[in-house]
Amino acid sequence: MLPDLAGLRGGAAILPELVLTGTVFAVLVLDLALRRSARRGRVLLLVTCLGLAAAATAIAGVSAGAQPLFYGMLVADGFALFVKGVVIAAAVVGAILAALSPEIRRDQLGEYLILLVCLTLGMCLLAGARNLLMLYLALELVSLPSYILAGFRHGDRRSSEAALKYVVFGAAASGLMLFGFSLLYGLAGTLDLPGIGAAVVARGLQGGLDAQLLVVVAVLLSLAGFAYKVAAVPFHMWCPDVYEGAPTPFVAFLSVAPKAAGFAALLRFFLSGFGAPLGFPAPGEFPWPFVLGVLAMATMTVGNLAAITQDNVKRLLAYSSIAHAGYLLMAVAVGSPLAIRGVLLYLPIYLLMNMGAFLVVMAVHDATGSETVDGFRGLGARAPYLAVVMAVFLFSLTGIPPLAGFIGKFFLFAAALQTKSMFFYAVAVVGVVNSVISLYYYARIVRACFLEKPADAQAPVRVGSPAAALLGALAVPTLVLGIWWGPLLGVVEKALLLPR
Amino acid sequence: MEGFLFYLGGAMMLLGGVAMVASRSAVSAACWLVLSFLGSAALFAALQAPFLAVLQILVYAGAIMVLFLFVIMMLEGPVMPAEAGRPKFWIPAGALVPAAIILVATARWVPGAGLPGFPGDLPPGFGQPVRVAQLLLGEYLLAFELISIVLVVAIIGALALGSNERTLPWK
Repeated sequence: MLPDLAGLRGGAAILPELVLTGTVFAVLVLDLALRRSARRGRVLLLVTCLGLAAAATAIAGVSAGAQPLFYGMLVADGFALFVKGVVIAAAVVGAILAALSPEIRRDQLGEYLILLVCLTLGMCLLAGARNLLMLYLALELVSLPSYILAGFRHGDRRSSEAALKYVVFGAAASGLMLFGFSLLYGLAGTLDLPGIGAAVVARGLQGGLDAQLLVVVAVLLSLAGFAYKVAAVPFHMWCPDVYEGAPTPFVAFLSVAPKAAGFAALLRFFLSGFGAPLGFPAPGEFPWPFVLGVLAMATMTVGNLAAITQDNVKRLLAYSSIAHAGYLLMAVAVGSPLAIRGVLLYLPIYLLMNMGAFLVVMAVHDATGSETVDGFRGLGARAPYLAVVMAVFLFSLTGIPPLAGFIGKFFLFAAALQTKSMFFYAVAVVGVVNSVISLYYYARIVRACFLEKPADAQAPVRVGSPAAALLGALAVPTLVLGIWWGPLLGVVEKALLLPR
Repeated sequence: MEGFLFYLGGAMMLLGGVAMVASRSAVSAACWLVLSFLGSAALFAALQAPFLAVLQILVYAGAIMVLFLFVIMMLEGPVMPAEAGRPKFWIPAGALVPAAIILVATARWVPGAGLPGFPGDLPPGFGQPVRVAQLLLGEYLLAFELISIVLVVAIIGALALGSNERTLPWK
């Protein structure tokens, strides 16, 4: 008796994932084969980048469609493909950063790149998961390499502490999430997200108070896992310590890619699991938009207020990334088509500006050994190029026109205002106030660059030409997208328009 | 009967897990892990999946743990020095145990404890090797393959973090 194999069709749709898996093993074998070669690092980087580029090409070739693949485990719709593209782009930048950074030992670059590609594979699967089992496994495939890469700075106590804290927090969050998933399975009898949505809606409306309470508890517990992955309050505590201790090239990647994949999974969990656009709840329903909106407000406020007092730039950017998770969470709470468009538009913009800012932090750290705001003093004179692009990235993170960050934030806030509900007006006002607060601490760094003199006579900070080129490649789109965002918006709309 | 097995297995897993983390020597940590595995086998048995229960004992508690212990003993597994003074977390942790027992024992009388769930009739052939194999190589094939990649990550990660102090022979 052979099982029905029809469900296994759809191998073409996971071609990007297969290419990534192939890249993992190619790098693994080459790392061993070239162990005595002087060019090992360069070859490994090249192979990794080629593999990632091939995966990106494969994404372009996948015909997007909403039909479930592999017995409903995955879906390759435009939304998932777009997020995969963002994640792979972040991985390319992350791989180059690792190769440029002295924090990653040369003989361990191969292992770093392998784990980075595995992480990318996990995020690609996370973006397309439509089954709780797949969702959990993909999340673990994202978490496990993250723990290891956070502890990659050898012999450094803070790096080891970062890895350990990350593991303990991560295990607690996955435990809570699994408990929530098991309750959902118990309620619905299926792991399939749309199936759960149908069962939960039916039971939540017909069942008594117990059933409703159980749904609420289950979804709140599941939310814990997502909140941890995107660093939202109250699961943000790991973030500053991990960012401070982990190697900077990895932090740059961590602050962007897992957040993007986490938001993709969160959106799919709520939209596909609990009915298309959430809207504002009907009476008798549990007010998810309200819960998520409150979480969004708390996340922005905590992130921005805590960032003000930070002296270490990596910690400061950690709190800033928490704040940005809050802005995105606001759009998830709204859940309208405009909000989803806003989230998708924000992800690549956030990639450009945040990875750029971390690249500058890395360059300054490598040249001066300092990670504090004071280390940026007089950077405008010592390295004008670095200082100018840093100002571009930071003002873009604040959301000042005409930079890309403004466009990203504009769509998020527009989505909140479009709901015409008092609650989301309040959330948007909190968001705007928070953006103003954020200007203060971003501008502190810019002030240190241009208006303060270095404490002692310091040599000019030199940047290698690869780093300078990469900075340019991140800074120019940050400028251009602020004025001419049409093409990117077109890609986003095309991704969302395709049959769902 | 199932309820009894569930609480027995759950208690074994909890005890094994806590003792594994708390023990100072790698060998006794591995032995506590065996207890935890036996507890999960009991849970599978309670769920009327005897095949999985037996596999759990044969593969995990048997083969994998023997390999584990063998490697630990061959490498003269590290024994961490005992901490000065008795660890203090045992007191609150110990207080939680009776609290949990009381909670579980009285939960039955909480109004509305008959929680809703999907009808629990087992499909024909549930838990039999043929059905497990069909699920593993059919419906859950992708997840099954994904786990192998997670294991690759774990191996590479162990090597990457473990090569901290000494250089590996092939480096």
